[in-house]
Amino acid sequence: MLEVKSLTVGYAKTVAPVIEDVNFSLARGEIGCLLGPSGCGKTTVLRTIAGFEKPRQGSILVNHEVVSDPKRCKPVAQRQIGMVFQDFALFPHLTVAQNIAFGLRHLDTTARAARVEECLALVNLTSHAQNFPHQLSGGQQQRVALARALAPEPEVILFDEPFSSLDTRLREQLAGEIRRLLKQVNTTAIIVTHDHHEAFAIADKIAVLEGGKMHQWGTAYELYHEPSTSFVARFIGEGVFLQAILSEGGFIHTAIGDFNASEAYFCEGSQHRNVGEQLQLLVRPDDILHDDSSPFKALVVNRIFRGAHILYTLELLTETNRDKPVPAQRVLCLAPSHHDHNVGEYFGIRLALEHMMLFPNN
Amino acid sequence: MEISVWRGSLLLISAVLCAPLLIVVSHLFIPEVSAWQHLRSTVLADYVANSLTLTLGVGIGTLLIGSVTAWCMTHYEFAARRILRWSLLLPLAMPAYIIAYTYTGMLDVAGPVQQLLREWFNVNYGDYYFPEIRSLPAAILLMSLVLYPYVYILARTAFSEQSQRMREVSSLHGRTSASHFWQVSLPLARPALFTGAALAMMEALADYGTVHYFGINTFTTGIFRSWYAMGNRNVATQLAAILCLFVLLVLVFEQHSRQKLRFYQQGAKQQSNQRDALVGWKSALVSFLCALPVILGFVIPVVQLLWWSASQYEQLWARDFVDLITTTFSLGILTAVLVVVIAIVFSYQQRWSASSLSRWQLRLLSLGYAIPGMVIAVGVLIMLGWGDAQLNHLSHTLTGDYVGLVLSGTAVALILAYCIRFLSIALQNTESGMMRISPAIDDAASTLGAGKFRLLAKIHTPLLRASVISAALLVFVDVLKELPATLVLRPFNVNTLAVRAYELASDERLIDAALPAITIVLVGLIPIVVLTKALDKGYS
Repeated sequence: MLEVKSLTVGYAKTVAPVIEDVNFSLARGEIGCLLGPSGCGKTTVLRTIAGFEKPRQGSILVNHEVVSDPKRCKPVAQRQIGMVFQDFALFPHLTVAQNIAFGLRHLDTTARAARVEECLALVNLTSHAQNFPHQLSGGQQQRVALARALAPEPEVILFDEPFSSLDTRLREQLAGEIRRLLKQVNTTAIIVTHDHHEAFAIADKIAVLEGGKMHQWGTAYELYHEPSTSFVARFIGEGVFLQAILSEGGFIHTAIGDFNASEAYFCEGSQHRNVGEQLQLLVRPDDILHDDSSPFKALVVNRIFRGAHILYTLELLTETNRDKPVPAQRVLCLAPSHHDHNVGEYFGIRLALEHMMLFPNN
Repeated sequence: MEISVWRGSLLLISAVLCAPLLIVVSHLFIPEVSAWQHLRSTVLADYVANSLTLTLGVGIGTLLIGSVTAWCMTHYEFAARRILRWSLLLPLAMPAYIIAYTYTGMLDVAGPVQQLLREWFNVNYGDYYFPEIRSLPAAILLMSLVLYPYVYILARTAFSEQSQRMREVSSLHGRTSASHFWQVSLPLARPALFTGAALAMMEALADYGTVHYFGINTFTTGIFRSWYAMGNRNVATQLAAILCLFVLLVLVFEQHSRQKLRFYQQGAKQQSNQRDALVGWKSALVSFLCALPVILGFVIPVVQLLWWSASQYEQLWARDFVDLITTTFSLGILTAVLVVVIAIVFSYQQRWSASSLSRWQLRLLSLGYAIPGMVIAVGVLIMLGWGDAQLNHLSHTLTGDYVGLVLSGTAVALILAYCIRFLSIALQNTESGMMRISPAIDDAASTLGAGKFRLLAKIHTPLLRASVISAALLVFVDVLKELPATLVLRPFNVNTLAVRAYELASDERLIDAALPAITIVLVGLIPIVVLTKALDKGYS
């Protein structure tokens, strides 16, 4: 449906490209998300798909037809791509109905009115058809923007930070609503955001971008549990890197126990492993279990009460009987809140890893 | 294809609009030795001295009146403040040449004031001292009285944007309010004050009506006399070119101040500054001081003009006056529509291409407000005169007939000159209007399938409505007031209100001149009402 192939975009030939070698594809009705910190180039990818920017290299295909490559660039107006803007960009001098009808010039009057009616019903704003944008709330304005973008039945619909101008509490709820709507009309969509909660709530597939490069393309589960780079691991969710040493007999030695190296994923060029090599092991707060019977004790240095759980920051005890003293390492532990410990107390922990992700030490 | 036609026509329009000025300026580089010798030996020193004195005088005068009134309005609460909020702008409606005629009529030897004095004190003409109204100092004073709003508007914004916090910092450090004024407020407002003064100075350099009526030799009167009385077009053009140099100096000063303005005034939210309430004699004094420019610059001349016109009221229905109104208003409306359309198109173009060519194009087109009408007129005449020669040559070879002066001898010349002079006013409005439209609106429309022209027609033009109306209004009124270019370029037998007022006043028929003059002033009030509303919206 939508394919982005080794896309590179730069504003001037002499300057480093804004985005470099981005690849992903979406099937019809799939919702993709471009996730990354500000300045990572995610909006540029979106604007190139819309046709506002030209690729320096690579191509974009919609329905197997090339719409953008360095030689050809189909004009924005002919692409049949809908877009919902950060500030919604509703036309302030037109009513809600007129806004939605703006992209329906190819229809005759009756068909247009019917389609507007249909779209209004879809976003549940039928009673506001004759209102002007400034008379609506932020959430309603966003639904108008969505209806306006959906009205011409675009091949792909793009969202640029759709929730950033809305109340934080509304965001996740709206993300769910938009997802339901997009699935209902079976439209392919791409959403740009810097917030992984939003991305998780709305997307089927997520691309993580940083510094113009794409780090990973996968589901929310894959990004969280099987990050392919340490950037993705750090950017998504909480967690720490624990020092790990590859030891004789195919074991990985850490401050909270030894593990079988054959079960581990070696990411980012940590494949060529030598015995004695220093690596980093990704440990999520839910990987550390509270276990009083464990031989590994940890010191509580901070605690954040989160209702059902308490997020502990723990300092691992320095190992004895070693030539070199290991500097104190800290891990996060998400424990059920009835395991109530105060700062300064010790308790036993156990590492329960489903996915052992190893990264090079840097 | 569509796009290149669009670009090509824009380039052509800007070439036509810039050419007259470039023609005049280019004469600086082809100096005519004989013309120069003649000028130097006769009147040049006089022109330079008078123009410079007038310009500097008006600069200082407007600075004084404008900044004092603006300071009082933003810092004190006094009896007349409410009325003055809107009335301080009224003198803007009064063209300098009209206030000059009016005061001359009142204060001249034969005028009512001196007559009264003679009667009261029983003296004869020549036995007492009375300042000469037709003089350079009087010209400076009268022009300052109608041009100070340029300083006042910018100064009022500058003073009221200065945060209350700064005043508090000053008082925390034990500064008196006088020391705060000299060391904080004034330096901060200086770029705004200077920008306003520069605008007033450009008007003073461009003035023809006042100085001609007072018999003061300046560049504009010199150009007119060389062109018409002496028939020496080369001298006229040289003079126009030197005048351009002076304007350029003021322009550089203005642009420099404007740049600082951007840096000093960062568009801070206008807070409701606390104003000190004045009572008793202080309130009365400040009210009187601030009302003085309005009384002198608007109320007295308007009352006098109305008085004169009242005796002429049957003229209102006369064929002559109706024709005059029709001609003037048609010219005004035609120019306003044309100028606004050009302004919209150019500011729209600017939105699409940030190329340095289009930026320069726009900058050059925005210079019009600085160029005196007399200079533009000279440039337009030279350019269209050449165009007419070519056309006649062409038609003669084709048909054997001459078509006559179809360009320079018709309203085409006049409207072209108006466009050059007033395009910048319209551009200011449309550009700031365009700036307020988020670029995402354009993107949204194009993702919905709208092309460039549909975008302009359906989105930008309706959104720009307010800017367009105010631009059209300002241009219309400016055309009404414009004197020097109209005087030079009007086709045979075409009269405007301004020209008629000028002609009648020059013939010492001041009472007859009152009706066209008061018409200009009253119509000129319309944009001021709009301006006042805009200014007040910013402060409430």
